[in-house]
Amino acid sequence: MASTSNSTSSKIITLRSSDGEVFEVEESVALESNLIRRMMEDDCANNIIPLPNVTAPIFYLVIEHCKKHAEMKDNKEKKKELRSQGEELLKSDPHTYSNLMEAVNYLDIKSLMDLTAQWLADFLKGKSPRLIRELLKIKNDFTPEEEAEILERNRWAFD
Amino acid sequence: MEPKRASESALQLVHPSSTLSPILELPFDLLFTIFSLLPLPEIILCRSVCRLFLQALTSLSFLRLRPRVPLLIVPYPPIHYLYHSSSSSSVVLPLFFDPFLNQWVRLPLDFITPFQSTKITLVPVASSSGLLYLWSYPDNTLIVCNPITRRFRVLLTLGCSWSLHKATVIVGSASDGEVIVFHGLSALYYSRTAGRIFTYVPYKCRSPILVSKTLFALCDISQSNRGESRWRIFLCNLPHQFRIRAWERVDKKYEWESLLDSLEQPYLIHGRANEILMVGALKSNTAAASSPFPLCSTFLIIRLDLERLEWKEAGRMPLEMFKCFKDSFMFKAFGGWGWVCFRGNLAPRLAMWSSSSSDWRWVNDGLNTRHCKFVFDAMLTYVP
Repeated sequence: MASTSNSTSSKIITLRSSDGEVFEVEESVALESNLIRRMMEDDCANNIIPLPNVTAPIFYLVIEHCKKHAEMKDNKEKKKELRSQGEELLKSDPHTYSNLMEAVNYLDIKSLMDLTAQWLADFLKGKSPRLIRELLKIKNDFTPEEEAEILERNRWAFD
Repeated sequence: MEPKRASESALQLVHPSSTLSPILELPFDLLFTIFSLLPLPEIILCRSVCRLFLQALTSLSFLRLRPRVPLLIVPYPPIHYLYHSSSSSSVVLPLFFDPFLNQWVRLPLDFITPFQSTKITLVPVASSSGLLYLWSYPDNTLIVCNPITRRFRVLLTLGCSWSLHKATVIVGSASDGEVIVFHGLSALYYSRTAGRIFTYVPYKCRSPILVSKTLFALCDISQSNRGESRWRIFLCNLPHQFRIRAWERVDKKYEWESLLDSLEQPYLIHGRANEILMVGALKSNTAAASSPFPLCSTFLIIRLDLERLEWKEAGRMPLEMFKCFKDSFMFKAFGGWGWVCFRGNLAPRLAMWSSSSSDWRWVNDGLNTRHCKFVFDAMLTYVP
């Protein structure tokens, strides 16, 4: 009965993660996700929305960052702080990073997509290929000859 | 936690390859999004991390996604750069400048090995998507290369009657090795399929451009040497019309004559795709006395639709910027791929316009960028 547009700030959306945990999230936060927005438009809003591709720990992270992102909209300092958090996460737990990135992609949250992509881009900047491999636990699968050839061809970038 | 860690390390011992980095499990389109945020040198660096990175960073879909950054080229580097250049002493190197990161990019051309023992100078003369065309001096040979993949090919040898200082080189389809060299009133067309065609041009012409097999140029129809030029747009279709009598005038309409007559020192510039831009200083009776070209009010960029014979203003340099050209009496406009740069002979800096954002900006490095001659669209895939 009451028009939804007047009560958006207080409306709560219920979501269920892939491992069965139920989350109650403010609509304003949930609508950051274009996936949830589309589901609501398709009138699934009164039921619990299932998120089969997102586990509870990752969903916690997503909500947390959505809130942070909303808070720091006009705050440059906080924005910087949030941008610098990626380095830490990628060093300590690349697994969580990649799960978070995939969840953000699945949920289609533009602001977090930009942020998480920037995290890895920043992380890669200024590091040697060897250090990147070491920190991200990537195996060097080139043969020594291939590696030598690539190095020779790309020498200018290494100076 | 303890047992989990133990099992993980056990797994690592048995199957070292099964502990795949989580980063490598990200879908390609996500990796593309991330990689597209990297500057060019970083993209090159990351290619040598592992096969998957190499594959992603050289795939066409990634290269299309990456926002393209034009590099400005200074054909003749200042002396102090020559002395500090670490590479082969027999090659003189041009300089590349990234106007967005505001830094010089090192792209040594030392992979182009001289063909003789004498010292050669490689001067960039033209560029097409991803490829750079160099005039090798003194042997007067045209070379095409991709400075990023470090591959090159000799295109053609011009011979001793051609001089770099009098020549204008424009290039077309890279796969066909298409190139035209203008030299005074003579011109040479070359492509792999058509071979060499030599001809004369009917008029004194300026800023020729090649847009998908059609040559456009501004020709001076005044036939006078007294300085009062009347520029008109001509075209000829390549290669069969590349003859002196085959040039056709495009702009027969009256409005076009007045448009062309209202521009001082006009230039044609290849825009994005098949778009043609015309740039010039707008003549005006009301211009301030302190204006550079005494009777001009600002620089104008016009988008031409030569099929329908229509034109539309695309950009106008803000007056604040135009003031910095006030001591100049000559200017040069160059660009391509949606960028136009303005250089005044006495202006302290280079101005740049982007057709996608319609933004005007200064390129900050005042000392050297004003010697820039053209834009190079650095690409990682193109093969000379």
